[in-house]
Amino acid sequence: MRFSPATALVLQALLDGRHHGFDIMDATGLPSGTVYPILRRLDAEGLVRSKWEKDGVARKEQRPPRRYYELTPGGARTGREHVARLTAPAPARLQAQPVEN
Amino acid sequence: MSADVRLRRALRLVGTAAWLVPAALRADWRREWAGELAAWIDDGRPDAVRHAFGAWSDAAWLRQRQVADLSALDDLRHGWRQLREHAGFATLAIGVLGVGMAACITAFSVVSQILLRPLPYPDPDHVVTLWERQGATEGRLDASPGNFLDWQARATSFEHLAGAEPYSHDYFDGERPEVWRMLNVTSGFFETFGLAPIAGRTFGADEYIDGRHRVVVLSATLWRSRFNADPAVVGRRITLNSEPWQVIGVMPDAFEPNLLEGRGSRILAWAPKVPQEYEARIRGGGFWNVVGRLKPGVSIEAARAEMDALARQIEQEQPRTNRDSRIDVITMREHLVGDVRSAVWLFAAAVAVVLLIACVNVTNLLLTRGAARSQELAVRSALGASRWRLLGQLLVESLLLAGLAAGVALALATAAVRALAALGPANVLWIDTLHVDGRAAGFAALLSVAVAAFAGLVPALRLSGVGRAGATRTATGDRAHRRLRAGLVAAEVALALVLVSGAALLVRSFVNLLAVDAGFARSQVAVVQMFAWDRNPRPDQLRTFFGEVLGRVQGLPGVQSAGIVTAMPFIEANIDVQTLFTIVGDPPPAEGAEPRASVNVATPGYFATMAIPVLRGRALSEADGQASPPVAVISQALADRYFRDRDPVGRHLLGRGRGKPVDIEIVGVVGSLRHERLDEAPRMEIYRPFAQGPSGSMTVVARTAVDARSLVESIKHAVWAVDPLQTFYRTTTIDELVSRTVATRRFALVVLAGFAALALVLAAAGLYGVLSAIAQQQQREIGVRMALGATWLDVARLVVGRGLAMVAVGVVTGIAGAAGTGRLLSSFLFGVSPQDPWTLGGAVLVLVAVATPACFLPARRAASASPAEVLRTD
Repeated sequence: MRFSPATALVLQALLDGRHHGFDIMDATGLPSGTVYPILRRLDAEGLVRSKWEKDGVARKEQRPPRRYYELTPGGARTGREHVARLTAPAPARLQAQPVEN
Repeated sequence: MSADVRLRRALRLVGTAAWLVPAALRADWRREWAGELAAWIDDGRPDAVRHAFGAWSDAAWLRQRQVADLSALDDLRHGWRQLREHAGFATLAIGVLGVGMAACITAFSVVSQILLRPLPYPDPDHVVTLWERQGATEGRLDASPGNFLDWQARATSFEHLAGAEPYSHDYFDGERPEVWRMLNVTSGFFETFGLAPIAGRTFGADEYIDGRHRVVVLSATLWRSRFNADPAVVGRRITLNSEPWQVIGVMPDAFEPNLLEGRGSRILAWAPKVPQEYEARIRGGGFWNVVGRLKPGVSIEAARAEMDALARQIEQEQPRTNRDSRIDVITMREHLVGDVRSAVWLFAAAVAVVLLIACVNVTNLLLTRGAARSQELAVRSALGASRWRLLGQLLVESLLLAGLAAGVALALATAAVRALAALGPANVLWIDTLHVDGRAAGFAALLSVAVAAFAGLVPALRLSGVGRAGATRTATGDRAHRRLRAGLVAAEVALALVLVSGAALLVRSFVNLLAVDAGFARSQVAVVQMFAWDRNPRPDQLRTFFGEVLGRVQGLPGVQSAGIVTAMPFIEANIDVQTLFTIVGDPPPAEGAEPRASVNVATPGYFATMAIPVLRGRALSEADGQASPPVAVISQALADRYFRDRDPVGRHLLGRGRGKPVDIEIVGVVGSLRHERLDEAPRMEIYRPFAQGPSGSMTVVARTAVDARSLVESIKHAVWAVDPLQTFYRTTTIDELVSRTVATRRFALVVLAGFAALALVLAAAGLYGVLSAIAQQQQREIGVRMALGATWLDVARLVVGRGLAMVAVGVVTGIAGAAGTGRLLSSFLFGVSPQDPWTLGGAVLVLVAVATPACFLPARRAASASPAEVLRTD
């Protein structure tokens, strides 16, 4: 799979604990039309897996459930390698702040 | 804007993209976007609607990923890379396919724009033409006025039925008179076609009366060329035949009935036909065209049945003139293009064969190329690509090749069609308007898909199976692969032989045709046809006029002899006035079985000028004057038919002249002439002296030792010296007249020979390509053989032998094919049988002569390689 700079940003966001599509979009500064196809490709290549968040979380916040993305072990390894190789110093916004699941 | 409104708007936008998402994923996809947008808006984040636009990219990605065309895009990219990396192979394949497809696109343009061209009239299938047919006489005949008037009065199948008499009127603009080729038409003519004039009107019922008939409708062509498209032309007074006429209308460009097509001249205008009382009695020898529009609901078959019954009725009423006379009813389309239909389909068949050879050639190239890709395909298969995936990839690559070839083909076809339009035979209707249009481009697109499937399927099927079988085991591919390629080469050779033998048959026919004795000399004769009736209405005026003209022409420098004749052979406005006669002293013939012949009028110098031999007795002489007893010479064809072993000289014929019986002595027999085509039977003719029966429809012929073309102007000036206002209907030379009649055959021959040459080149290239590939792949084996003592001759024999074996199989198959298709050519052949063994043998020799170097070159290259080098490299 080709790892473009945009893909590296998305991988970085996942490594930093962003798990929802719009959060990744917000963290990377990439438009939603770029982020989602990357997520789909990573999913198809087996580097990311996705599932629906727990019902309880959505109910508590009284909103529809969101799709949760996380790196597979292989994806985490691959992601760290390519992020190191391809990304420029991360933008200030991309802080390693864990987000509650 | 409230959060709810923003969410609703954003979700609506997402909904517009949902149709792109594959159905199985759609529900989850909508939920996902709804969840993200709701969370985003709940967080108070702006621009939710803007971010919702991203749903379109996401949906498009899912669509292309989930269905096969994503793989097609990848395959196209991969295929493009392959073609760039192997430019030589790509150029050859695209070139070969491009040439074959260009020929197909050209044929398509010809078929769609000539054979299938929509006619511009309302309900064109109801517009028909009617012709007379005489017993066993070949071909359709123009109608005689008397017969037409009976059809018009009695037939009930037609809404309109009209006659059109070809007539040339002399237009005078104050400087020099010019001939206008016109039709005098009866009522219903314009109504038959149903097209309205673009200016003015057509003829009213009261304008078919003598005295009120001097009105004319112009064609759009004449309106533009002579009157500068003057919008005020309607109502204008013009001078025709030294009388005042009035222009009353202009017909559109679409109104080109082309009734006289094949006679090589466009009709410029139309005038009303005023029926003459005597015309009702003219039944032998027609010169009118008849058009009709079938009544609504009446089929052409019903009209034919009615006219057949009517013909038999008239035959019973007029047994002298109408014995065995029948009526042909054909559609306008059949009249316009029926003559060329078989030639066009022959052309299309030849094109299809060339395309087939090109496709087989490329199939072989793909197979050869594929053998070199077997490792790549095996690796892909090992990595998980299914056979269908590989098949799809290979077919997409073929489609890319064919698509690029289609682009090349359109460019080549545009040039070919332009060449056809400029150089094609002029008597093929609409050929000058040929062009590559949108339909041809659409055809090219469809053709590229068909070609990709045809040329690419077999290699794709074979090579996609490589993954299952593993990489090829031997250096030349498996045996089945080799046999397949050899079989394809043999198929190319067979197809090429079919085309070459067809072209050879046409060549022989053409040569035979040109060798036919037309009955007259075919060179160094200038020809000038004129109609002098209007300016010389009386016989004595005609004698005076033509006597003076002939005297001046005979005195021109370079003229060896001159004469005038009514029925000039091979001229477009060919006159054939037939008469019935009886032979004095013979038993009276049964009614309806009277001898019939064509009557010609000539001066004595005509026979020497045209080099027509006198076979018995004498030719006409100056002594056969107005006051002398009526005499005639007859053609040998007439003598053979009605006199057989008896000497006609001295016998008398009883004919009719101006309604009165005339006793005519036969003073000589001359050679027979063909009048319209070299492959028709000679005409049975009775030649009367001009002095004894002058006509105004005469052609001046003059033999010269210098270029006949240069004499034409001198003859025109000699005529103008007698009458400066005399116009000329046709000026040419005898060789141009004859050449025109073989133009279509010559053209067909050139085209077919060109295709045959192309087929030979493609087949030879295919043979060369396959043998080169085999020789290259067998390099190691050859190296070992040479190291063990084989000479270059042994190696050459090995490779050449393989090649000639393929050629032999192809030749045997091709002979069977050529023998079968030869029958299809039979209507185009003359003097040679479709299965002529000499022609077929010659075609085989040509093929072998071309194939031998194609076999020899790879053999020489293989044999010249150093065994040590070969073994070391491996």
